[in-house]
Amino acid sequence: MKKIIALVLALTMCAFCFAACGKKDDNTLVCGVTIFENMNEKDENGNWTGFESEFAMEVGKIIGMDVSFQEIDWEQKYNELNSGAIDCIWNGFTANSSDNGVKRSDLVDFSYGYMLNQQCIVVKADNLANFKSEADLAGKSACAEGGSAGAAYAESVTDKVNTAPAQIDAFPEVKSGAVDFIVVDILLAKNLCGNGDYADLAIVEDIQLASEIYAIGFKKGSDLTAKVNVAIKQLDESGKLMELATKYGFENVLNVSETIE
Amino acid sequence: MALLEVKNIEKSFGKTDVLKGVSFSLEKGEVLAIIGSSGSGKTTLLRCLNSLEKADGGSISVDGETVFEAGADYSDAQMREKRLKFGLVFQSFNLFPQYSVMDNLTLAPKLALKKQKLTAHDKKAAYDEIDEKATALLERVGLLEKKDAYPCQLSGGQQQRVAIARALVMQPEILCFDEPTSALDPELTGEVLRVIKGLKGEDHTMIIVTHEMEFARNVSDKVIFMADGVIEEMGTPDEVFGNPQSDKTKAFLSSSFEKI
Amino acid sequence: MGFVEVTLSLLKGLEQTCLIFALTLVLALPLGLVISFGSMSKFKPLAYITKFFVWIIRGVPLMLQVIIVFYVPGYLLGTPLFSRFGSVIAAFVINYACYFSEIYRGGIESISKGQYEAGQVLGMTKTQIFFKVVLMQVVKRILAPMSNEVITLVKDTALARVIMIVEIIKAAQEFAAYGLMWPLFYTAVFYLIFVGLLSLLFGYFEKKLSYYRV
Repeated sequence: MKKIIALVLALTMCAFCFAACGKKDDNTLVCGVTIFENMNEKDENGNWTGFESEFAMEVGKIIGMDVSFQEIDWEQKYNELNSGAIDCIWNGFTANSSDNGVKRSDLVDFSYGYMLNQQCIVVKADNLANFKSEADLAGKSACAEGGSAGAAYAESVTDKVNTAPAQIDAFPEVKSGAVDFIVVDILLAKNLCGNGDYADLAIVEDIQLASEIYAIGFKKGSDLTAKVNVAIKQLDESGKLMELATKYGFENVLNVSETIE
Repeated sequence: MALLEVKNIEKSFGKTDVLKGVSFSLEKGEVLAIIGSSGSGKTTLLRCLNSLEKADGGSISVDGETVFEAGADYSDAQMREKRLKFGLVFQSFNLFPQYSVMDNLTLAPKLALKKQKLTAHDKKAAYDEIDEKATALLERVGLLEKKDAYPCQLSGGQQQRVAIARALVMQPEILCFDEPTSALDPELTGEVLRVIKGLKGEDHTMIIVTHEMEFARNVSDKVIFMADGVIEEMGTPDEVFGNPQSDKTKAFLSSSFEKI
Repeated sequence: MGFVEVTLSLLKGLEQTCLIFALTLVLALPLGLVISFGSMSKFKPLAYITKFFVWIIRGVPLMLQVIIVFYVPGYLLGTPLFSRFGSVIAAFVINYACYFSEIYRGGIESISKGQYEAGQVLGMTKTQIFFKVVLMQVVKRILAPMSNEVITLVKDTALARVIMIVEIIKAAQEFAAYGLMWPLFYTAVFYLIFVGLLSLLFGYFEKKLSYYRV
């Protein structure tokens, strides 16, 4: 009997050692991302591409850290960051927004802003005529990424809001007719709407939402913020950042600014 | 000197005193029948002998060696060694259902060998010896052709005969039977009783708790009638059955034979 | 995206599913036995503590346990204790071991006292009685409830995606995100085959053990 118990304990210990290894090491910058067209995507070989991915890798080179990308559930982003599972949220993260009434800048430390964005309303193209002003949204069913700036907006205009784990998961909701409209980043919507599987979706141009700025979010008090800021400045001045933005079609919205308000 | 000396055994479950000081002795080769109504303590007495219950008072010795003394603290290993002086055949057989008849007999003796560090050669010889002994015992109880059968394929009477053989493999000094035919259909009791009777001829010392009065009278050398946790009457079969002294014994015997 | 690409991608997800399934079983089956001994212990404090623990584990959703195992150590220590996969395995093993322990306990307690006593009077040790006499009878008794739990485990592996393990459902959802819904429904085929094979296996065991009655 004792032998059996010892065996089980040994097996369990092994399992926990096994579980513990494969933990991230200190010289890797783990970026929490969701799949975001032209920002964070995987190519056929599983390598990360897109503006944000390449941007992060350039920053990694300057600050001397390896960069890896971890897909996260956007709703869990603060848990991922504060538990140390990821080192930063680097995924079109709107800095001048709030979650449940708390300003995001109070929840995380932001780097310099680097890109301007706007949320937009996406509906089925044949339904466009029903969306002329913000008042038309009241009472309609909506979907947005949980914990996103878009979700905050949707909740302010209608009480029927479903959340999706990532922005990209909101598109099937409106396409399938499960909801009337979705609120997503305009950069993403412009890439997806009218193409391929989403040929029947369109952006509502008549309803304009306030503009936003993207920045990288770090754990409060992290020393990475300052290091990354230096690298952003350097990439901006050398023209490397504009080169990347142009490659992925973001040249008009690239905007490095030291304040995020 | 008597083979078995039982002195003043006491046992209570909670507030109920089941055995209130039971003493008797048994010579080698003798057969003792214990009779009495249910609740008289006869099964508990048997379980105390086999260390399935720990008596609260008294002592038991076999062949001059004390195997139980109330208050003494026995380790598990000591308990195992001492209880092997006794064998027990249960009312409900308790064969191991997942083993064949043969394996039911050989499982315990083969496991007992594990404690000794034997070479592969010695181990094989010992195993062969056990198999041989088990085969002989199965033949003895008339079930050799069933050696590869499983308990669920046997009748109750056959299962009980296997259980007797299984108890004998361990070569106990004293073999105990706890109402060995009570769980059997009437037409199956005969084969079991015949086997037990046959063992008497081979000089086995036995203690039989039974409700079969006729059998008890025929097979035993000594009869104990128990009532309310004490030995009410003890003597030869002729004394107890033919000329009972106690009123309780008379009442019990007359009601037992009335039923038939 | 064609059928072949989708299938290949789902098979990669299935690999994770199978790995979670196999590791959980291999570790939780013996651990459950130890826990069941704890809850049946004659040393009462141990029995109560074990039962309390089993109540907690069975009372809290597995999904929440996965999230707790992964995030909470990170909050306390600043860095996660286990990798994502390790957290899933730790949570699954503990959860399933508790369920298994209750099945074992029911099975062990259903074996008649006579079987233990028969072993005792033949001079067998407690350990020998348990492993040589009781265990096989318990196995036969618990086969049906165990097959239920094991089949539930196949489908519970899908919960691993809450901390972003790309098992088969998550792999399919990545297609759904681009408007391709059928891979998600297609995963049902893989689950059905998996569970079908397990049902056959349990049927085989049942037949193997049908030669005796307990």
